[in-house]
Amino acid sequence: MIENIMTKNWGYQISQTRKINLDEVDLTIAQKILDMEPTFRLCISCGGCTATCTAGSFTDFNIRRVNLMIRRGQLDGLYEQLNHCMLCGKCHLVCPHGVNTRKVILLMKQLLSEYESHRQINKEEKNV
Amino acid sequence: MSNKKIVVIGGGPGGLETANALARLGYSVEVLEKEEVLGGHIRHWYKLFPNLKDADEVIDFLKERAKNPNITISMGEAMSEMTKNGNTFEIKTSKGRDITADVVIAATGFEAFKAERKEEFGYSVYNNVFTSVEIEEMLRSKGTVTTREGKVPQTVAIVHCVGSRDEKVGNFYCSRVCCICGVKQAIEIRKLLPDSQVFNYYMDMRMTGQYFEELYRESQEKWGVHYIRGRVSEASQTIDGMIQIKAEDTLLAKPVIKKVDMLILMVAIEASPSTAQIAKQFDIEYDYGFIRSRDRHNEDQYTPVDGMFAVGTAKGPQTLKETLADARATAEQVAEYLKTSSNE
Ligand code: SF4
Ligand code: SF4
Ligand code: SF4
Repeated sequence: MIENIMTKNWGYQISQTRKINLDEVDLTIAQKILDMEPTFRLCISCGGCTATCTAGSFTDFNIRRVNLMIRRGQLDGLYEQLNHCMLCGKCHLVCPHGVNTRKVILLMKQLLSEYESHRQINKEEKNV
Repeated sequence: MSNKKIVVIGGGPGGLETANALARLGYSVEVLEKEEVLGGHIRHWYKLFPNLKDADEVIDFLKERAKNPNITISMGEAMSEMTKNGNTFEIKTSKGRDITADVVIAATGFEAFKAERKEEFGYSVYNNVFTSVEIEEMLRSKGTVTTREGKVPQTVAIVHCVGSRDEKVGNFYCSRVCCICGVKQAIEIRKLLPDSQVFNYYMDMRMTGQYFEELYRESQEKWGVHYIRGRVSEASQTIDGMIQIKAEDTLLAKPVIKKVDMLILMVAIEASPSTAQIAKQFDIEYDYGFIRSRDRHNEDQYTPVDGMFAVGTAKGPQTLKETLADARATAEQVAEYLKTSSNE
């Protein structure tokens, strides 16, 4: 009986951890943006930008979340998400902490496109 | 006792209680109050946080204490100009009187943020956008809360940080009292209107005083008040006359919209014109027009100007409780100053 229970596969599998290990994430891009656009440091995650963003009301794009993902080193998929942004600047207008979100987005797009092309090259090398 | 002339500018809680305490220490004090009534802002207030005590109880207490032979109250008389001349202050009043004072206590207080300045919330454009101050006045005069058309609201949203923590209006600071005021007004509305739903839209819940956290908890446990973590970005009026607000529910990472019957704006504490006037003229501005004390820890009742003291919200956002304690401390510091000052 006991043996049965012990050996039975209950449908659980070892999956990749969902935890973000802040000791291991790569914050190079985040640091670059923080240095190049210091107002980025002032974000308090109030969500004013996301609330006012037209792109955000029709797609999954969430500018506040993208900003935060960068700062936690979670870069995958962000470049595509940023393609929803129309650079209208409304987010900058409502921000209570004066974050120049538009400038941050431009920097993110530039730095992430470099990151994405590296990733592509790495993938291709692995495939060879 | 000393025959020095002591003038308190402002007959709100801070000014009155400073005069009361000084009178009990044996000093004669004159209080200048620009209005025809005493009590300052709290006379518009209905109940006080965190224990929902009637604001009148405090005003009555302060006024009763002020019936003291050592206190002269000059009602309807404002300080219009003040200069320092050697060791004394020359005050011109709105009634054309000239007063020479040895000690001046600035109890010139605050002014509520003018909500029109945040255009996106539609105050004074849409009917049913109110300020926190208007809600207090409404509760005080009617004992209940209704829309401007006199209807009982089903849904109410309370917007935090209106004019505070906002670079767009030039105020970086937190006003410290509006979070708890939002909690308190939500409870009051729920108590009066059990069928209503009340939502607080906040960026951070700042329970800065003793027993505030408990009231926040009570608002959830007993009164079912809802809390949404996100800054409201704009309000608009729908065809049916409701107010629609947009925010991000940042904890869900999704934009949310909601229609409400009433929108209440938790307006900031800003320096009153008299506070700003004194701060500027004597070059003792801390920031945003408030008066700077000599040292925030060690000499917080003194100002950098010899003989001038400042009490309460003239120095920045404070709760009523803090202001009353500050007033008693100020009286003690003035007495110490008069006993030890060399300008005999
Ligand atoms: S509005 Fe400004 S502070 Fe608020 S989440 Fe967006 S960038 Fe950050
Ligand atoms: S600039 Fe981009 S992120 Fe900002 S409001 Fe416009 S579409 Fe949204
Ligand atoms: S007390 Fe609360 S509502 Fe008032 S400014 Fe501070 S955080 Fe905003």
